[in-house]
Amino acid sequence: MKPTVKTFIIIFTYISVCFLGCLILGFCLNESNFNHLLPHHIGIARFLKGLTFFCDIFPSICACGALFGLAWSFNTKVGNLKRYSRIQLGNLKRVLFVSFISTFMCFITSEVVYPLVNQKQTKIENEIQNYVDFYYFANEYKALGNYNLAKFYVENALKLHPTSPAAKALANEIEYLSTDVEKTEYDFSNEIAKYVANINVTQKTPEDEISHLLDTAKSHYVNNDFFNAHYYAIQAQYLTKEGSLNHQTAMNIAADAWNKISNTENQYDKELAALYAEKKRGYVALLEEDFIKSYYIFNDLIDKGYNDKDIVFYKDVAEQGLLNITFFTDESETLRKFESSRDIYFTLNHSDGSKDVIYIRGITILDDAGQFVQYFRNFLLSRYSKDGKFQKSIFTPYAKMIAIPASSLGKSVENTNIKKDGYVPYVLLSSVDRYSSSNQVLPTYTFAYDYPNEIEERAIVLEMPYEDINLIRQASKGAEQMPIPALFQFSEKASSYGYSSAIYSCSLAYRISFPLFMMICYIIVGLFAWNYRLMPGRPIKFRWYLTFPVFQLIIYLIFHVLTYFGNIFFFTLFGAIGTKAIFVAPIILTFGILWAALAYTSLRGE
Amino acid sequence: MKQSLYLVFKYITIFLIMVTVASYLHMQEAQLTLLVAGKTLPFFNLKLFAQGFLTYFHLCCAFSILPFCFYFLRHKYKMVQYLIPYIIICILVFFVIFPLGMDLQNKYADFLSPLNKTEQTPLSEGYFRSTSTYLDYYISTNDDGSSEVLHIPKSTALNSFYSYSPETITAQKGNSTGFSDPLIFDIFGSDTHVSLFKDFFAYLEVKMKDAYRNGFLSFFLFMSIGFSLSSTIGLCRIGKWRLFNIFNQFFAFFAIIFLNAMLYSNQFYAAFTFLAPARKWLPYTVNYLIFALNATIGIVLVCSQVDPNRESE
Repeated sequence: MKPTVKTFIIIFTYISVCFLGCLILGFCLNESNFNHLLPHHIGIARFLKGLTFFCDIFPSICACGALFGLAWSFNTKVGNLKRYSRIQLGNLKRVLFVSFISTFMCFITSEVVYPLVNQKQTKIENEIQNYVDFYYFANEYKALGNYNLAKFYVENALKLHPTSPAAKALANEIEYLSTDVEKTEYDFSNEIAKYVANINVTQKTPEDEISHLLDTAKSHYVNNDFFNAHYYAIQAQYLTKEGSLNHQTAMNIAADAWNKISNTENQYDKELAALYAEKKRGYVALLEEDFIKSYYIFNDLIDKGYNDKDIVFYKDVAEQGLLNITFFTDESETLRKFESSRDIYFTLNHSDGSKDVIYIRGITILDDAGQFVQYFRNFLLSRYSKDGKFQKSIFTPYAKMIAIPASSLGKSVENTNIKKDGYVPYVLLSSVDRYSSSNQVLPTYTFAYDYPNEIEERAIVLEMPYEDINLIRQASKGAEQMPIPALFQFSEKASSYGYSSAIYSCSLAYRISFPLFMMICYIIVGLFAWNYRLMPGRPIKFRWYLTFPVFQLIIYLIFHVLTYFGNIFFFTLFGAIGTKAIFVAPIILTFGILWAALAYTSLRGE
Repeated sequence: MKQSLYLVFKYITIFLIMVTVASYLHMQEAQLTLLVAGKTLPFFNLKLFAQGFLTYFHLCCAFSILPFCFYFLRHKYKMVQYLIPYIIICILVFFVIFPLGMDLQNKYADFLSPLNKTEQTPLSEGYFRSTSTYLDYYISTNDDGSSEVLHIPKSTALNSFYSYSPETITAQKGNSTGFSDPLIFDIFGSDTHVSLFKDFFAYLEVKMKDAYRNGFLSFFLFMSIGFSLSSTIGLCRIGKWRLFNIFNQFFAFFAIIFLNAMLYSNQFYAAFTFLAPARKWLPYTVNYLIFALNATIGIVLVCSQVDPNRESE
């Protein structure tokens, strides 16, 4: 058998044995480690625990396997070897090959397998947290008499833990209390489609738009459809320059149409006149950009059974306008259980030196809308002046964030790191009920007593690139949980968002250098393997296998201590040369590999 | 003779490398306890380096014995060539350098005293520091080192779900973790393996100082650990594969240290109450027994077989 093949057989056999060992260990762990989880998750949690353990010790497993494999494969008689001999160069190839494969496997384990396992573990932990929250809220809402919401929460709790006796009992109780209340479901996909469509509509060129609008207005006027004629004329009027021919035409059509609208009212009988008046009221609200009022007027009309073309159309227009300043409460409540992150926090610096401290308890991302719509649970913003004095705070139970083009912010973008053609987050702070105007969820504002500008906005723009929200979402979980590309982007910006750039840069430097560092370690392992190789003609004894776990432990501890020292090394390097450390550290380690390879070839044989 | 002197030189080289690395790491660790987010870690600090040297040089002497053994086992040395310098070095280390270390540590006790809470660095403003229940944002630092902190609870209760106004509290400087900044503690202080190692050696160190203070006899008895550690060389011929041999020796070396720490700890006697009366003399007896056992194994192996660590010629 070729020595390299022999080495790999030993390494892979050893890895497989260790893998099984770790899984068995996971299943042998004390019950108390998993008591806090949902019962049907315990099996998978044990499996994941075993896998985590395996990933954790994987570099040392490879090292131990390589050490024994190589030391065994070196048991050929070589006689007296001088430094840098041909045989050692041949052996070096084998050592480098083994090192490379081991390093590659370590890298895959730490960058691919471990994050996946971790993600799954977090998901399991979040589900039990969500279950506890849902159950708690269901109880609270039941006590408050809001059975709709109580039912909604208890149903979600039951989805997570179908066999829970407590949740079942609560569900029955709520069911009994709320037999006359019916729950309404709503399909959100329309919402997103509308929003995405809305983004696209605004991209049209103004000239085409104006002539199209004027034509539509004229044709509606001819057909005695005066509401639409007025509406399109007004739209055209907004887009044209004052004094231009088109502007004048649009104004004329609008004025004529309005006269007709006002005069037509008296021509109808009592019921139709009332409907007409209501329609007009909704339309006027729309023109005054009171989209919420307009939405409820048209929505009420539809509810009452009047669903002519105008009403449906203006309800849609009002709804689009409404969705620019607020959102429907039910959108966010059902989405709660899909929360992808918890506890997200960052700061935003303003040009006047003041800063916003932002904390979000949970974020839900809608996959089908790309990353353009995100829902925040418990959004808190606290603003502090340059000298650290509290200015104002905003708190809202649910907020919806959408992306708007940075160009819409105008000049304020210029001195920031926002790209002009990029997007910025726009946070809608209030939400309204889809059917009733009475249930609005408004943000709570708190102002410092000497704060001059007490405006309670319904929506705010966060002056930061939209992509950064996603980086921060990942960064809040810790540097070691971030994928390398995200970490790379974030490490430079970290301190401006209230994170330590040293920690994120060092973590990045460590992660990038990890394969190089492992490579050095494995070459040194090869060096040890040669120095303490199995002598030619000596058979392997069974009792040597029994000592493997002990040696595994020793090598694991050595590796652990080495990574700890590695961290200190990166912090020192960062202290000395700053962010350049990210590039300098790999260079230093590459020299380390060369040194190790050279040290290997310089080994003598007896 | 020449070969033996060369080995002594090798030992000194190993010791110097080890003590430099240990002192540097001590220095950087001490600097890390003072580091707060936003500041950079200085590259060198002579005072802390010297502190590291004084703290660790005798321990480094003892730990250098292990790589020293690995060195002469790997090379073609005759037994007399390595055994004589080995024995001399062991005696010097455990009965000259250790007392010297104790003396120096007593002499410079003030210089070596660890930092207390008041010496910690005030936490830097403009950073988040998160615990499992609260998220803290450090808004500003006061003159006395305390900080104004925005204190946000992470838990979801209905009352904080629908209305919440931020609460600002004043956090005092310093914490019990030993690190000025919890962000740094999370990376370096929370490593259980490393802190376990440290606690463990610190514990033995305390016991050793006690023994030294109680006079020569008690120190000599405590140093029985030196006998047992040195005797691990007796195990170097136990197998036919020297990789197996050095691992055995390595394991035995640390197992003895662990065993000693255990034999001095209160928990051990709480678990094995029947050994409690023997508490005073048990560690020494165990150490001398190990010494006798290892020495016997060594002598028997030397007499009964050719050196398995050398290539069959």
